[in-house]
Amino acid sequence: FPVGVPVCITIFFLQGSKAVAGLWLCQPAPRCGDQVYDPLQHCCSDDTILPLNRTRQCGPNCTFWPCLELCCPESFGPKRFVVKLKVLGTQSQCPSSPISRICPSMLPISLTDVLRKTRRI
Amino acid sequence: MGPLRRLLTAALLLAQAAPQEASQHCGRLEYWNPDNRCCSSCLQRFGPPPCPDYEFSENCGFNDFADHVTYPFKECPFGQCNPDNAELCSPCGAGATAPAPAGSRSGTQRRCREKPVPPKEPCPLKSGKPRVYSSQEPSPSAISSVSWTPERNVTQQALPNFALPVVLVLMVLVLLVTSAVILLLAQRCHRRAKVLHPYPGLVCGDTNIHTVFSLPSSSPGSLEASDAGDKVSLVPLLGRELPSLASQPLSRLLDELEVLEELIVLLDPEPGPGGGMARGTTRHLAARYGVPAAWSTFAYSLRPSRSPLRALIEMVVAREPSASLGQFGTHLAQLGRADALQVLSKLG
Repeated sequence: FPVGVPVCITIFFLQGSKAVAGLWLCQPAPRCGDQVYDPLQHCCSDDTILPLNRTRQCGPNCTFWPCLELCCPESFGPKRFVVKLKVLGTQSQCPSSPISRICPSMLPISLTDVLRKTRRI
Repeated sequence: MGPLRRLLTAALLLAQAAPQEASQHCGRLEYWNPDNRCCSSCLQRFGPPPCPDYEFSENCGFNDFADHVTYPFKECPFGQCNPDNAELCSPCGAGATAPAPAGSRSGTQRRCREKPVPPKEPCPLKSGKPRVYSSQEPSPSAISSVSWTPERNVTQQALPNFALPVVLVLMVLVLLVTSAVILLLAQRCHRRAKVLHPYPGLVCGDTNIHTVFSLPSSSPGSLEASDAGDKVSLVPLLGRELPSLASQPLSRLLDELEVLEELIVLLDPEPGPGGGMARGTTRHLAARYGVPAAWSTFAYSLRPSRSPLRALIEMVVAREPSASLGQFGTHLAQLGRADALQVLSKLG
């Protein structure tokens, strides 16, 4: 976990739609390279601060969430793009991370098509 | 539609093989970071090329939006070699060449923060057989549970090339014989199941069933207890439905969306803090498949946008294409989920 800096940010919790004068937690802000960031809104990937909902292409035919997943291109043998899960609290690396999915090698499928297929829309 | 389909396939292949456009900001061995607006080193991102006679692709496969558009490594062009795992190939026999200038193509762009170069990974092509997983090194992270990823290729790595076909043929023969034995025993179990034994798979008492379905326990007493009503209802399902599903791939479940949706509704929910112990949820199913608890916790954290059960099935199918619906059903039976088995039997 990134080393904190002597900057204290305040994190408070909201329970649903109710504004709660609940728990106030003050802790050092995590660092990403030379900057600090709010882990509730951003993540640190490759020394870059990214919003949690940022997506990127993993190969020509699928997308992934760099805050939650790794894109692992396999250049040798059966060439393919594999999306793997980042394990929270560790420096995730491609060789040791569990597979989330293998990107299709067929025509690109939009996220809308995937969601429609799983009836999430 | 035959010629048209071939033409379309050829067009797609050509499109995928089209050379990647070079970065507008960085040199050949760097890639553009659009958020930090700097050039990062390919070597510091991926380490040196793992295999001889391979080099970095243009900008190691990134475009200027930080998307992975192609693979980071590619084979040396004809007439060039790279025996020393340098960043770029050089004419064969001419020795190493100086790396391409790292400067930008249009003006000077600043370099991103320097990072240590990762160690070279083992070459997956060493034994002449491509492998699914690219590293044999122990995980540098603290998670030893992630190393459940089966290293099936460890034994294959040491085999000479000529032994590989023999091993494959033997494996196919073993699979055929095992499948035949399973079918015969399953038919016998079905006849015996009419006596209403709670664990028909064990009543048959044949080690082949234990082996194929990978039952974690070897004695009736160690199986998860369930009430008499569930035991009775599980018997006809196991005896009648599983034989027809045993040979079907688990991936079929991903195509049968209605059945999958029903299973998600039954297996994904977990009780809240005030509820009792959950009985046979997706989390327990993942444990049956040998998935570490950390993965299950992470998968559940993605709800409701992503179903843990769907993610589990996708992962099991990706890891073991030979996983069957029969094995899935056996796990459900061991968890005492007669309701889920009832849903699964619709595929029979």
